[in-house]
Amino acid sequence: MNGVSAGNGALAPGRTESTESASLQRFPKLRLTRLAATECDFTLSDTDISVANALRRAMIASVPTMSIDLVTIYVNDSPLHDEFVAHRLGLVPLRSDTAEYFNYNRDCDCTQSRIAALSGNPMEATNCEKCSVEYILDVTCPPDGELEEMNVTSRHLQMDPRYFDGPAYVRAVVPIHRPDQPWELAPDSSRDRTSADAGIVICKLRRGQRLYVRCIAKKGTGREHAKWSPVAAASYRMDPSVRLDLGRINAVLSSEQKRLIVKMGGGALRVEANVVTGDVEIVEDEAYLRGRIEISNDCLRELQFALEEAGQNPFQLITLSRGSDAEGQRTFYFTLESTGVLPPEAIVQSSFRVLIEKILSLVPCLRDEAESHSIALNQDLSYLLLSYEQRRNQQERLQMAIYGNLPGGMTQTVGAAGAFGTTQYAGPFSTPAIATGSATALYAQGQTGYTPRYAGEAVAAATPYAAYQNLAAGAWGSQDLTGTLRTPQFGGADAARWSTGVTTGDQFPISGNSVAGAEQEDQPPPPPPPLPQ
Amino acid sequence: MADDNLPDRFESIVLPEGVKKLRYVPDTRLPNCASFVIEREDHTLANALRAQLLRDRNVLFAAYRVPHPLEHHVILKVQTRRSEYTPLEALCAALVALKNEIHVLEDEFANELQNWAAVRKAGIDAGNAAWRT
Ligand SMILES: [Zn+2]
Repeated sequence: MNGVSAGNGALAPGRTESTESASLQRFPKLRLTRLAATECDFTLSDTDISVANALRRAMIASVPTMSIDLVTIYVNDSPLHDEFVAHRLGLVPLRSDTAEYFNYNRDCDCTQSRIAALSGNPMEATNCEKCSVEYILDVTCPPDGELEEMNVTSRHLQMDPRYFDGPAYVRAVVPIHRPDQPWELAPDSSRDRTSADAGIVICKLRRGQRLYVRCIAKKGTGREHAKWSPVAAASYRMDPSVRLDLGRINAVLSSEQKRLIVKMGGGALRVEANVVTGDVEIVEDEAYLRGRIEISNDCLRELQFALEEAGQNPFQLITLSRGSDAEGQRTFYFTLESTGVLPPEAIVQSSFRVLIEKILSLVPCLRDEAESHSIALNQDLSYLLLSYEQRRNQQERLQMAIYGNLPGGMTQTVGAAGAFGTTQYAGPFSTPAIATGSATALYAQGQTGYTPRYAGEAVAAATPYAAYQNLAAGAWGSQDLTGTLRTPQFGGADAARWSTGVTTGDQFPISGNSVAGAEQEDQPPPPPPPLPQ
Repeated sequence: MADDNLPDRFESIVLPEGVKKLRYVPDTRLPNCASFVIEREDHTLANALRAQLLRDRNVLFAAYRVPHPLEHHVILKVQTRRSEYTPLEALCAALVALKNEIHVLEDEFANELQNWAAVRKAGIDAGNAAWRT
């Protein structure tokens, strides 16, 4: 089916069902229409609503982020009770682009060893710098100061000094005071003085009152609590699925009929007087054209009857949109708004990974169940799953057989195995950007899960590396971490992971060539090289 | 304590010790029919799988349900048309199709980000109508 290429070893010849299964493969299209600091719009087409909805749900509830989860209250003179303060602290967004380097607290060595030793109070929680970040909030409104009252804000959250010597990914987790807080560029000083930039108010203190709490931030997902959700809004809309031939409908219906239909339209339709003829006419409301309202079945039924009365064939004047084919494939217009904890494109990429992880988590069990129920699993299929399980890096993915299943003229030439620089790839999906030399950047992207940010003219990558350079340069405004940032202390794998990146130099220490060479399985990806100016 | 019987917050996420992520439960009454109990998953995965299964011409019936909001699993029921094509194989095919689809989307998105960077670099305004279409 679809001209399966000879290079696709996954499909044995002569197995009808396997080729039929392979033809289940769809090739949805995704087009980015807007990318801003905290917002992103894209359209998804050639797929159905189940994929769009899975993507939306994954973005809302499954992307891991950091949030304050445990609050120890030492002094609380504020008018808010302890739980109230703790809840508000939990909702403070924390920068989470390094969340993937953290363990979940429940899986972390510290928790596991405590459970193993059964020591201490079982209710007592443990945490370490592999699974948490601690903050101290100690604010006193001066008893003899000028201020009658003051706001305690997210700007008062200070990282526990113990963590200053910790890994760089821990130090990167700082409160986000406003959603568009700059990621890599020094904040514009004029904007930095706006009231919105004063931080997120946690509570107010009167003269002489004090709030002293210690907060532990952990990694989590929106599934567990909405405070871990990285999105303020993630939604999609569809093209209206009903198309009305309003020109002809207006010509044949009487104005009474038109008014009746509009009345039943529930806001989707309006009547308007035609300036030329003076007749009333049905027009589609803006809200309907934008997909916020659908025309009800009752309205369509009434319209159908009216058209039949007028001697017209209603099925010629009321049509289903071409956007929805027999398989229910439509175009989905996504709108994504980040809370600021992650850049929007990182949320999308993370949600893809989440969905793939969900699928992969079923694979071992699928095989076990096939064995225990002695069902012969189609070898081709298990081969496919196996091979995709191993599809861990971008280089392998370019070689994968799915492209062989593309109908019509899809070609693929793979150079010497392992030499990424020689891989050539041409096909319907390849743009010049991919076919030519930017494979390195693609590689780095796919590996790190970090996408370069393209804000302004500086094509600084939003890898942690770039971020730390700016952190070192004091780019994070009033946090003023410059004085406290020290040489990172690394050991073991962390050393390899970070040592190349955490420098305060202007240039990335890695050239394009060494990027292509560094392709061992366990080695973390190098940061993408800066694009030529 | 007031929250003594409060379920752990991570109960909907973490697979308990000794529980299978996926259980295959053959249907004894219908031919070529089985249910899959997928632990710690919800509509996100189940609905996508159901839709993929329904696209398979050898699948006669596919549906899922979330039995109870406090039970963190979904039940996916599949019936195929032919005995040579078991529900397990159908699920396998659906998983492969869905996974490949997401990989395609991933590539598309990476591609689009590159294009976006190129456009930005060329100094074309991001709000340009030509780029938007
Ligand atoms: Zn830990």
